[in-house]
Amino acid sequence: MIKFLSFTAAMVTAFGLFSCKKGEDDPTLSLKSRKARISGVWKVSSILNSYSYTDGTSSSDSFDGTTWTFSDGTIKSASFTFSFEKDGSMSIDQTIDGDQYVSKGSWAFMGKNKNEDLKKKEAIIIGFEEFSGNGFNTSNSSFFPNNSEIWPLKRLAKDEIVVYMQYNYDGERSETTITLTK
Amino acid sequence: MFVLIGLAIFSCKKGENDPFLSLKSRKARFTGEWMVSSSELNVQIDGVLISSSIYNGTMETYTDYSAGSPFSYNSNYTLSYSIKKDGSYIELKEQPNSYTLQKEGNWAFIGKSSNADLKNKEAVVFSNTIQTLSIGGTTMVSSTQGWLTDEVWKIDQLKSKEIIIKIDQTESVDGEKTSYSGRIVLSKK
Repeated sequence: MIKFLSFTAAMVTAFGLFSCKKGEDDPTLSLKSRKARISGVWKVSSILNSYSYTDGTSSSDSFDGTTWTFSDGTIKSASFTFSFEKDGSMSIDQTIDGDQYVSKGSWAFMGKNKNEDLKKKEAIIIGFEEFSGNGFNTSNSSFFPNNSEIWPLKRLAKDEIVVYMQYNYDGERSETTITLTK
Repeated sequence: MFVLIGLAIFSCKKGENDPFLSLKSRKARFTGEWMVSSSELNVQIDGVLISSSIYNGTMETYTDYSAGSPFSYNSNYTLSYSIKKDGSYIELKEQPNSYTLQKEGNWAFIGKSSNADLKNKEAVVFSNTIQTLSIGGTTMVSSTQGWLTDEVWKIDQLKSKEIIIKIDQTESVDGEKTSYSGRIVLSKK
């Protein structure tokens, strides 16, 4: 009986130490909690925005870590750095064609939603509270609906995050994939 | 051992006016059929009141203070929510002999954020996916897919038969500050 209880306790402890898969491309097991994995400073290494329209046409914009290429042929140099802290604060430093923009705010994990097949802590909500740049300044409360975004995390590894968002609005569709690396 | 089991069975206080302990989980208390029994909302710009709204469960009195003399008008409607355990919800606004506006979508608790002074499951986000407006026999439907932050409720009190949402938000654009303050009270149907 004692051996069985010891074995059970050991198994429970082992599973408790490992963090399980939530996002589709998460590592199967991780020694680090999701909070520990997301915390830190990240560079955006790529962004892909794809759009499909009701008239059957489509377009896309892409960022490769240094350059934005837009569907109309415009090219801009850019860099994006995200910082997620354990206390739930976050900041984004952007430079686009030499112009600097700074956003600060809060982040939190989202709870589970069975209807949308969303697991607990599979997504984060980001609330933008301060924005400055190009002579423009705004601020608002935490998680103000108009200035918040939900990021489903397709992958959360210790050195890579992949965010995948998909929106349909009355037949028009957009998909965004953001890859961040440590 | 028994203390730990006891603490695990009881759900602890998150919102400022939550019951200290509850046998029901926050999810169990939040889900169900609700009517908005009252609400109030004041909007100020740079500290000056520009509008107020008071709702008693069947009638809203909206007062506009922005143009010199206050101007008020009333509208009669009922507002209800069906909040499901699977994370779906329906919001229904009905104005008799006028229109019905139904919003469907998804909800989820928001986790802890010390920076935002938010405890785990103290706030809820709603993402609208289908909006159906019926007026005089005509129905218009718009649909979206994907997680958007249509509403965020900060829960001041979560009981089995009553929810109180606290509204206390500001936004500032180039120095002009707009403040929203008030509350929404929902009662179990």
